[in-house]
Amino acid sequence: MTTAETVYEILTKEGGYRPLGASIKIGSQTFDFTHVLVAGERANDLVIVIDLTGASEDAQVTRSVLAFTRALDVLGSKRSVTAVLTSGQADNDLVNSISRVCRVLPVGAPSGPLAEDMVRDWLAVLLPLKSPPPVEHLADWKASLEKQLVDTVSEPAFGRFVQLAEGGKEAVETALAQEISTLADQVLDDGAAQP
Amino acid sequence: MNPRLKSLSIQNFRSIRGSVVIPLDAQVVLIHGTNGMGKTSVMSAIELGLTGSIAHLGDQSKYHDFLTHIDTEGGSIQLALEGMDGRSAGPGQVTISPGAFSATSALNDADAGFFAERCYLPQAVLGRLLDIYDQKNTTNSRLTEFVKELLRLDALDALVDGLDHAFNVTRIRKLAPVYRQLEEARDQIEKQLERERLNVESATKATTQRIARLNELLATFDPSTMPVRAGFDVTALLAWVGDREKDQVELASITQQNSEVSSLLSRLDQTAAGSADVEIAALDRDSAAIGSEYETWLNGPGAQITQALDALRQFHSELSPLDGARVDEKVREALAWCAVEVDRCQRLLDQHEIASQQLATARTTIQRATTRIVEINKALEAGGKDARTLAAALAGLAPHVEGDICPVCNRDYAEVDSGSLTAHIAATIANLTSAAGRLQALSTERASESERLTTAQRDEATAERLVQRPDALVDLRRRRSAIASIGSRLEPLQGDAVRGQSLFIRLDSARRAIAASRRAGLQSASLLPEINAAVEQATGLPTTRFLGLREALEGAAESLSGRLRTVQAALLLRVSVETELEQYVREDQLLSDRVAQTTQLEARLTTMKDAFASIGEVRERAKTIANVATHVRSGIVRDVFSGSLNKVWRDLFVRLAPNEQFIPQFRLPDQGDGKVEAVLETFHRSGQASGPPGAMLSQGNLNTAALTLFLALNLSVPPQLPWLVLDDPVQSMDDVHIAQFAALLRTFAKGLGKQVVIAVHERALFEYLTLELSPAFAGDSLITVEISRNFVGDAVADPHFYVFEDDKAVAA
Repeated sequence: MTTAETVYEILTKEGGYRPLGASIKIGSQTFDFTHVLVAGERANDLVIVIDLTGASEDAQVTRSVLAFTRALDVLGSKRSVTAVLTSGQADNDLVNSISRVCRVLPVGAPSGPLAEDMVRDWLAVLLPLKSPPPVEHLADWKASLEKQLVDTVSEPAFGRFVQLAEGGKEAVETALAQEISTLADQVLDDGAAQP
Repeated sequence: MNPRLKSLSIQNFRSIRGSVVIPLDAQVVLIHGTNGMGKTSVMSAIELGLTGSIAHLGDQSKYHDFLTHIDTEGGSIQLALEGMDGRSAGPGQVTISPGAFSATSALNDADAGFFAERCYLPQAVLGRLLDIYDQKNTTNSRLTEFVKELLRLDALDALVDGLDHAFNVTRIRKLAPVYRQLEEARDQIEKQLERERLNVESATKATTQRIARLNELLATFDPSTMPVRAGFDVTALLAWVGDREKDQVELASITQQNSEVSSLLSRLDQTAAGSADVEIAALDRDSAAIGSEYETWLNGPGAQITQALDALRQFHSELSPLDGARVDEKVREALAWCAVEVDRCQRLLDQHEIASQQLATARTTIQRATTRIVEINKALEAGGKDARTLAAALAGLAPHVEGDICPVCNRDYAEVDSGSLTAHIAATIANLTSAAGRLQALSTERASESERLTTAQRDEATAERLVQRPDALVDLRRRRSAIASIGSRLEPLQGDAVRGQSLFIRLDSARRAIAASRRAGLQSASLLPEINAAVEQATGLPTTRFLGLREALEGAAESLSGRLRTVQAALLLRVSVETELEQYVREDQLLSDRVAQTTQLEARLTTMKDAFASIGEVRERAKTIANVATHVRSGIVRDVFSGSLNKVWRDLFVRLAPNEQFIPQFRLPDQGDGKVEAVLETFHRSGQASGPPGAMLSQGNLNTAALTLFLALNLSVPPQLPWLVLDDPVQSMDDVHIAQFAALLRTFAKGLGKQVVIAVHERALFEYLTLELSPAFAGDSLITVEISRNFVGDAVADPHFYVFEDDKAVAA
């Protein structure tokens, strides 16, 4: 699978982008790119994927991107354009010249086992943000505490401390102090009773 | 309906002069103004309206005084919200003037805290954010706060912290002061017990020794008795041993008999001296012989001695009368006195001789000296004029003499015809001078003469005292010769005196011996019956069984002293046994007291140890709970960091810096105690851990890391308020990052439904963001506000409202 195909896969499957085919007609002009994709419901992104091959000339690529964005401007479109450059290494001059008119993601051709992740990182900005997993299940500390203490601490005692804990650190301290003091007082009082 | 910021109106606040109204009722609000126009003032106004304070200035006191615009007297802020569902008391209202500040915040405290910490990123905080969250090993760090806020683990923390005391006995003591008392009581009892045990040991030893000694004594007392053991009947033994009346009676009787026997023995000794009559006769004979001898002596030398001594008594009346027993002594005494008296007389006579001569000499000298002094006085009277002064005066006159004319009377000396006047004067001066010398010598002589006179007069007085009067002189001479003559008569009689004295003494003792013999004879006849009775009583035998009276008495004495020894020994033994028994009773009582005390203490110590064991159990349980709770917390925190925060942060960071090879993250120590001790570090995309962000990232990407950390923290916590207020966060970003950031903002606003308020200072960026963030679907909205100043310097806000328009250019 080429990088351009990977980009296409990720954008369509994870980003909800719709492909518009390799050619797109803006007004009366037709533009040819490797892929053209448009964002789903809640965004107005327009993504063009350009494979930089041996046949590609920087000047020609620049010209086509500038012409494309100019055409959108002329039509008063508010769509923001992202150009994804795949396969060949993008020249600095090329990136600089087209980044004036659109967002440029010079993905190149990552290789190795993490190739797809690297492509996804590049495209992340175009993908919806995944909300972090809810933390509630992590915070169910009472259950895990009880599970770990089931063999060592009796249930009433455990329940009492958990209840005290809701009252804050002082409540727990007071209870602990109370328990110790009661035991100690008992002995000391006995001792005081005996001459 | 989600909470939403509605509108903000500002009057004379910080760099905004005059009054501006900024509509906020849109999904995205984009505020633009060149530097100094008041972007940050608008952001601060939002914060003040919401929270009533400016969090990042909170530690700089008195910022309230500088909130009013410098040219104005006072200002105000009004902030309207909607969709708070009763969580808000109403619109935020702030009134400011120099020296006065009053704020009614739109949010309650919890929401205000959330806003300040999670929703609002002032420029000042952005640069410090990484430092703020990289506080290593501080218990109450911002990260801990974050974790607490995120997880609501207050109860778990309370459990861990509250039970933490159980781990340390010092803190247990502090927590429950009575525990320390208990410890002290236990230590004290242990010490007491130790002491008491030693006491018991020594008391046991003492009683054992006492019993051993008692047994020894009892064996002596009565060899047939069985030895006693501990716990024997003391009263019975005491009764058995204690009857000593019989012994005492016997002792008294023996003592009496003994003294009788002794007295008889001595009386027997006095009388037992042979036959009395023969002895008396012999004594009479001796006495008569000595008597006649003494008589002879008395008539011969004795008479002479008496005469001499009588003669002597004329001169020495204190001489004692003659006594036969001390004749020799008297004679010697008299002789000694004679010698001393003769000596004394001779000395007085000698002194008289010397003094008479001295007197004669002194009188001669006095006579001569007196005469001479009279002569000298006459001579001095004649030369009474002061010759020396006249000579000096004449000498002074001499230079004035010219020729032979007298300077005094002006007469011509030549008329006298006896040499020149000058020579005459010189001769007169010489005469006068020599006369003066003579007078001097005379007066010297008179002084020495009168001194001699004085000495002689003194000598005369001395000598006169020593010279005897003529009658006394005669008497003295007669006395001397008389005494010397008596002395010479007495001297040859000394031997006779010795003999006379010894005769007298022998006669006297002979007479005494005769008298004593006669008395003894009278006594001895009455002794025998007494001796017989005493011997019989003491020995039980008649006197006749003995060789003689003396032997009988000696036998009786021996028998008595034997019995005395036996009785005394028996008494002593009884007393010893009684004493030992008394001691034993005391010691035994002491021992049982000590044992009782020890038992009591041991029981108490056991109770205490039980209590400590119970407390130990309580502590153990508390420790177990605390340990497990710590473990659980640590696990939760780890999950939060590795599973949630780090993941979100990475996602956000990669969006902004897709080509950065090092990703920042929090790293938790492998073995944590649940405290948040995360450190910031980076890791390479390959997964390899790397250095801290400050060392690995460019300044721009550090900024990106901070910004994304803020956003990640915002995303990780439950969204109390769906707002993001960012004050110019892109100041050090390059174009690529800005493009990425715009996309990210869009994701927040449109994908996650956050209301985003962002201020930027760069015109191009403002326009670019306007494009990027323009409404993308029906209901989406964007407001842009440009803040500038009019010609008089008042702030002007120029809002634009954008709504969704279907894009016709690209058929979607």
